Amino acid sequence: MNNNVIIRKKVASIKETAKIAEDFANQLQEGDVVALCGELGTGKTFFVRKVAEALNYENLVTSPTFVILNIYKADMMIYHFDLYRLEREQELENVGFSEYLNKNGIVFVEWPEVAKNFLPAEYYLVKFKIVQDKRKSREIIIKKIEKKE
Amino acid sequence: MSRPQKILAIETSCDDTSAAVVDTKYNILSNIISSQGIHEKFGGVVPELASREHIKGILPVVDAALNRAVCSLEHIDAIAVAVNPGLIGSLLVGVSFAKGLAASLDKPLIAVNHILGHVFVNFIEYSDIEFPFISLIVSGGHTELVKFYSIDEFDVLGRTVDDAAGEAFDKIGKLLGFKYPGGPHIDAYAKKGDKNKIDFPRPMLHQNNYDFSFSGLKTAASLYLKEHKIKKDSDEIYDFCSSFQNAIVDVLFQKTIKTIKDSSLKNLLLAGGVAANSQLRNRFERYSKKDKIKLYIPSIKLCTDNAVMIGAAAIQKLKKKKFTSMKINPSPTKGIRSL
Repeated sequence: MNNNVIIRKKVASIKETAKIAEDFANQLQEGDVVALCGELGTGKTFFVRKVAEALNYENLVTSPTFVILNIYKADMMIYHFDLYRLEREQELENVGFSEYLNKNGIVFVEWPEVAKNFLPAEYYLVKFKIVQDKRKSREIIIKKIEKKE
Repeated sequence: MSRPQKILAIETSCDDTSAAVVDTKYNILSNIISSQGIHEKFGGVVPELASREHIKGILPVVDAALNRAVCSLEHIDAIAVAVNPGLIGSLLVGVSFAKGLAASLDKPLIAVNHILGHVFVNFIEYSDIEFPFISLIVSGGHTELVKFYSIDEFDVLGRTVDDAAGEAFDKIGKLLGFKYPGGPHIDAYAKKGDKNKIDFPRPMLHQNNYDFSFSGLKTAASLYLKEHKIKKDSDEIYDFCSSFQNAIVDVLFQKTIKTIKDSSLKNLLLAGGVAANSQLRNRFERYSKKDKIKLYIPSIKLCTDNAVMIGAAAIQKLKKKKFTSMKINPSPTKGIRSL
């Protein structure tokens, strides 16, 4: 597995996080899959909101935890999954997870751990870490994951 | 005077399969809820399990609702069903079943937004509600302040910009090791604690709008739990629950009162699962006695998901003959605005 780190940065405010999200939005293309990892409240949904806004989505991105999938019509279609409430791989089928991977939109996956066997051979991984338990400081790491055949 | 019409209502949007028969005089003739129970051990609603259980549950539940109401299908005047929002697989079970029934019986179909159901269930228990009114809708998936002129004319004045209030309760409840849903457990623990012990943030409280934000509070509460090793059955956990709940209730209450004052309306309806929270109910009840707003809160058993509420909203639609095309499909994400 090749892990190419694209960005590794400590941020001290949500403004800095927003900047990273906007820059990242510029490199996204239709068909890309972005997995977002990090504990509760580290900014995963906020990051998706800022990417969606950069792609000219006009409404507000809110947490999909309850309904598992939100769909946004931006410059391209955005499928925003939140798998927090899923426990087993088989449940992905019921929410149509694999179908959305092939729809030529951008797919965001919060809490992707349960779906690790379903992610494509290439995807982006965005990690959020709390820095020294400070309320607003985070380390954000963006990697391009390429599974070797 | 003509006899009241009967509505068979079906609700499968989340973890419960439920069916009810109501009549157009707002009588509950039956109300059957089959709580699936299997979710508790998973700490959340498991969608695949949910839809499979709905398929198993829907026939017996509808049968039981008809039997309890002492009526058969030919006495039913319309079929109502929750159509959105919710878990798509679960919604599909109810909607497909309702469509099939309506088609085979040649009775009108009435699709009801789940959220409208939470609001209009108040009409079952109170006969003096007058439009226009403000409704605070708080549940696991929603936090909204809506001004209603009628069932199909309303303005969404404010809403959460990130997480729903119930989601904050349930996620922090999971961190504390409570069973799903976490809200009622936090409520019970909060009664034994000091609500002013921990000063949690009250996001957006002082912003001049009617929107909510609970994500920052969730972050602050989970960081607090990381920094302080809190043991079960210690004073700390009671104080934590009490202070956390107080922050949520405080924001919900103050934003709602601001909306009431700014709109010069006197009628307030609480709606949704979080309206079962005891501190929230008490706070609004105290205020309504002092400030003479007219407060309507559903009894606790009608706050959580049930089919009576779908029937209650359908009564208003039936009276206006607002029927639904058989082409309707459920949607996971369509909120109240899309009706």
